[in-house]
Amino acid sequence: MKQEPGASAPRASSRARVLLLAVPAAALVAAAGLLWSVTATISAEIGRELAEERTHLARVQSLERAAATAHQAVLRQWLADPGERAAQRDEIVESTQRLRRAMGELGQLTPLDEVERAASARLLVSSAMLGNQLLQAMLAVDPGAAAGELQLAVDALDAHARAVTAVTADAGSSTDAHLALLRGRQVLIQVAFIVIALSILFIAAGLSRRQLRASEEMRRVQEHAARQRAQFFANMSHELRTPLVAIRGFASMIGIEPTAGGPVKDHAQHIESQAHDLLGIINNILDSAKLEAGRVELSVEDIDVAEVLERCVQRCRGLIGDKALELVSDVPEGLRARADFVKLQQVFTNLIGNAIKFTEQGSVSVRARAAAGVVEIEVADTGIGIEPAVLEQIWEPFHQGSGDVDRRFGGTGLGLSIVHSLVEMMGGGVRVRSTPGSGSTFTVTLPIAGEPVS
Amino acid sequence: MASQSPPPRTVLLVDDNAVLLKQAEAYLTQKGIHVVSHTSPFGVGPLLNQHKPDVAVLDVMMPGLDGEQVLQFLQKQAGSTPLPAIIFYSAMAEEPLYQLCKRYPGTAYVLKSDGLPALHAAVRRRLRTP
Repeated sequence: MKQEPGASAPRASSRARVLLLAVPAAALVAAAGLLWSVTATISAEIGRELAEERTHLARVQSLERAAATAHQAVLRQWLADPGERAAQRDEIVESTQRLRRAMGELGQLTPLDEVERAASARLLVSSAMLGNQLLQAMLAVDPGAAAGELQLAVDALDAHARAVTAVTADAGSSTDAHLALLRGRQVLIQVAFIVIALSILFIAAGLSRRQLRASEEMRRVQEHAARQRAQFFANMSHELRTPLVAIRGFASMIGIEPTAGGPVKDHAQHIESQAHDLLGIINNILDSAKLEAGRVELSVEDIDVAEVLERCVQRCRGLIGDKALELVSDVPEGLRARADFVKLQQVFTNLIGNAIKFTEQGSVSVRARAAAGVVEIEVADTGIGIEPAVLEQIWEPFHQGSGDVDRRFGGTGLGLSIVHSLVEMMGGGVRVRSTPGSGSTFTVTLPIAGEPVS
Repeated sequence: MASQSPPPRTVLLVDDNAVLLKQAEAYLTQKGIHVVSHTSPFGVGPLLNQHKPDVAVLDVMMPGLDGEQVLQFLQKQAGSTPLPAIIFYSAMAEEPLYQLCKRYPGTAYVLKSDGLPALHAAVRRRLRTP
């Protein structure tokens, strides 16, 4: 069978495949973006921390230096000029208090780490000791002994200044260490980011591969099922038609049998037309099911309108039976339309068949003409017509004029819905005008073929 | 129908459905056509040689063979004998038959559901245009 539903399935599945790839890719991009923003935040945090530390350290160092220098200067001055000691006493007391305040301020600063905290503590202790020694020296009764004490204090202060320098250097190197640590942390975070991103990539790739495999498997199963269904439809329609063909054949043979009498030939004629109707109904039910399942595929080509209509007229001529009905066809030669040859036959077999069915006498005429880029084909009858109230509903499946029409004329009510679907699929249109009691005209428009036949 | 009693022409009928084969044979014979019938595409070669039919009416959808295969099989069996005009005659849906005939120019199809008069008309058309 040519009419496999396969062609639309790969389109759908390639869409599904794109979706399957797009979803993990989008997830990956989102995850990468999230990770990147987290890393950026952490980096910024680390940068801020570093800057804070540098400021902090600079403040500690400048305070220490200022305090130590002031203190040292005062002491040196006092030692150098014993006569002015009493006058300078207040100044020394004030300087000592400044030193204490500076020490207190130092103590309040948040130490950065163990090394710096220890350095600050040492500074605080030694400064406090120096201050005490200074005061004791000043209050000593014996200036000579005080001078000795003070010299010791000056030496201690020198040592302290050296210690401050050392601590400062120490703190600097510890800051370098800390910076290195922070940078290490940053690199670590970046490496972690890359590792996580790669894992997500691998997981996503694996997932999408697995999904692809699953979807391909599903597509295979669906295609297999569709093939099976198509084969079943083909077999069933073949099996349903074959016995009817035999029945119809025997009726035809009685029709040409010389020994058969008139009434027998009449019966045979009825058998033949009933069998023909039943074949039409089977075709319509199968086509309707196919249309519903979206399994109808068109092969649109340039077709000779006259050839199609001639075949349809021939096919339907037998339906007239003994009705006083003229079936006329007026189709210009060389008129070509873009349509599916077989499906167009189905359309007009249905329309002409309907016209004959609903017309007791008069005529059924088929006309075609080219008009403004389209081919217009008209099937007009002089039959019972269609009530205006139901005119809009006739294209719906299972719909016939009315319950009364149903009973009188039989049929499935599928024909016009098939006509409508097929014509629309071919890029054309179908309309109807009707006057109850005097007949109906169905007009099908189709795209005209690019070039007229030569 | 006014018969002009044309010279007897031969039609080879091949169908695995014995009832339909007999029916078509009887109908065409009644219409004055010489019919050779056969229930299988196997063994058609000698018939082609012996009767030199003008038209071969082939059922499509015989067991194990689709229309294309039937045609190729026939060609193989015919050997050097030229093939007669081919008419596919089938209870299949119309679409695949139409496509088959498009692939093999010069062939025609008749739907079994169109009845024996349609087959007769197609055979007559073929006999008129050799």
